Amino acid sequence: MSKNVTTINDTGSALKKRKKISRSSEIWMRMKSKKSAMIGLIIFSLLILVALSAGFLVDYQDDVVTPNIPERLQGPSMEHPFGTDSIGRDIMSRMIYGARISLGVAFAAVIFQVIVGTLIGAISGFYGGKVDDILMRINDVFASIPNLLLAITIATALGHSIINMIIAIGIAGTPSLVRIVRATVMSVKDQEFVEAGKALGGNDMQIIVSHLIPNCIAPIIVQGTLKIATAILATSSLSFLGIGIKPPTPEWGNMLSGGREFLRNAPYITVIPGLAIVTTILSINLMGDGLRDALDPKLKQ
Amino acid sequence: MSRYIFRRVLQLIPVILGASAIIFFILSYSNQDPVMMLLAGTDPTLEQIEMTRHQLGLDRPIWIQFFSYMGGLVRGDLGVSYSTGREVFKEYMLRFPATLKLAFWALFVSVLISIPIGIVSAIKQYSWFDNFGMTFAMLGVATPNFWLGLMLIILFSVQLGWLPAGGYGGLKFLILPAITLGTGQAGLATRMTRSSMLEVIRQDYIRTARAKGLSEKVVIIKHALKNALIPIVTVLGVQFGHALGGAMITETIFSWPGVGRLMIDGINKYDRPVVIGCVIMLCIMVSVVNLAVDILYAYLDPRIKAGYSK
Repeated sequence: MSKNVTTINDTGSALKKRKKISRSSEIWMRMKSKKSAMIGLIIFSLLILVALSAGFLVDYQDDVVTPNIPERLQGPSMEHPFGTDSIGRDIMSRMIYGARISLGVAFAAVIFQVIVGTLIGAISGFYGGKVDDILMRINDVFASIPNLLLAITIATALGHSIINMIIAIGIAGTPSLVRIVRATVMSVKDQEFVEAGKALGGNDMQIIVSHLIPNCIAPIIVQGTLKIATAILATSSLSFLGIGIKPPTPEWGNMLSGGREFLRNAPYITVIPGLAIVTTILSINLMGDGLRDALDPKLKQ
Repeated sequence: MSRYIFRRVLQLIPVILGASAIIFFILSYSNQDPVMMLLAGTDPTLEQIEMTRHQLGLDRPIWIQFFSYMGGLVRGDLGVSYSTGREVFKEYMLRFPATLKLAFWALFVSVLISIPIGIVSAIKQYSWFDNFGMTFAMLGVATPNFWLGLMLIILFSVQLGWLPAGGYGGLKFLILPAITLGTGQAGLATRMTRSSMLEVIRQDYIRTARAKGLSEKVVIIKHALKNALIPIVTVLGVQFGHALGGAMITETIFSWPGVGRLMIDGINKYDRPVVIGCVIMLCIMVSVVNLAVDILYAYLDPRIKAGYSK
């Protein structure tokens, strides 16, 4: 008798285990089967690796910010693979540090968006009624101002610093995330497991955190990934317009902008950071599309 | 239909007031001072600073400033620019024709690229052309406007010397900015055209049209495209509306004297009335184009028309 019970228990836990592995590995298998998504993932991972190891690869003071006038405006060579800029700094070193700034600001801004957006969206979707009305009207007003314009205004008002850029881009990108989380919460909040959670005596906050938000994880991951691309674009656009991160701090947008006066003699100053931005955004978009198809095959057309 | 339009215009009012209020408070609580901006380079005395502050009405409490501005707004008065002293609305209207021209030609470029590529990609799904089309669309979405603009300048102005790198005038000056803005828009529009067409060409009525013996051209253009147009028109409409509100980056690169530049200049000088005025006009442009698109739906799809008259 007791033997039987153990067997049943064993089978139960084995089933549970297998199911758990199969879900994540299923997503991974689907992602792996899409070549473009894997290319995106590999390129993006390499970029993150470069950004994280920037401190080991180059010396910030010597290579990145200190002018070296005698070597100014040199084209690409063995010593300077991407050439040097208008005051003789090595563009490759600046690109490597720039990756840290551009990606770092974008990641931080998206984390901001995800936290604030999920919270507002979940509360709005869960409570409905007046709370939903008020939060959504405010959200709509923010959404009615184009992202870039809102980010520019906030960044100008707060002043130029990396933290302020993160706040500006974070706020500007939040409204669309609120909408997505709210829609997902509304679609699951009447299902039985939420009812069960309530019946077990869970309070609103517990239900939101442990039942509703986990069901929004897939759309949040997909949107969050794609929003990193938007945030990188916004960061570089702001810096390009002279509103974002100021030189000598290297950021791809302000490096590109710095080359505008030398389009004739040193076009590479403008070309290279732009290529980096395009590659990054492309890799993120490929990865995000693949992730969306992998997490929710129903969405695939 | 007219009731529908009236209702939509009414819905616009809270959006405009809300957006104005947001921009007002963001700029008011900034740690920058428009007065110092205005007097920069003149080494002003304390008296001059206070004098200017008083003239601009910035010495009043923030709530008084807010309600007096909003009061003007309700009467249709967008206020006076701090830096030029001219009426914001006049200043805006002076710049608007340039923006309208750019937005229109960018839309033209975008339609010219996105619809043919999108249709052929959908018909020949997974062919080499589809791969090419989707790669183009992905690149279009991933390329920042400012970089594309500068690359076009390097190629066509600096290297080949065919077109001017910036300025405002005849068609010559229009080509590069229109391509820059239009190609950026085309990326999303191409993807939209493809996916919308893919959905439609699987429908039964397309098979019926083919079975009737209609030529492929008629099937695609008359039966498929017409039914696939709604999402495409929506995307194009949103993009056109935003371009009408001022393409800040494209206008900056090509020194195009449109409202996007007015907005950037206003932001850089903390010229609150100019920035709010531009944002309000932008909201109006986007809403008017969206409304026009919604009305266009009624012509594309009679079922939607029936829905409006309810």
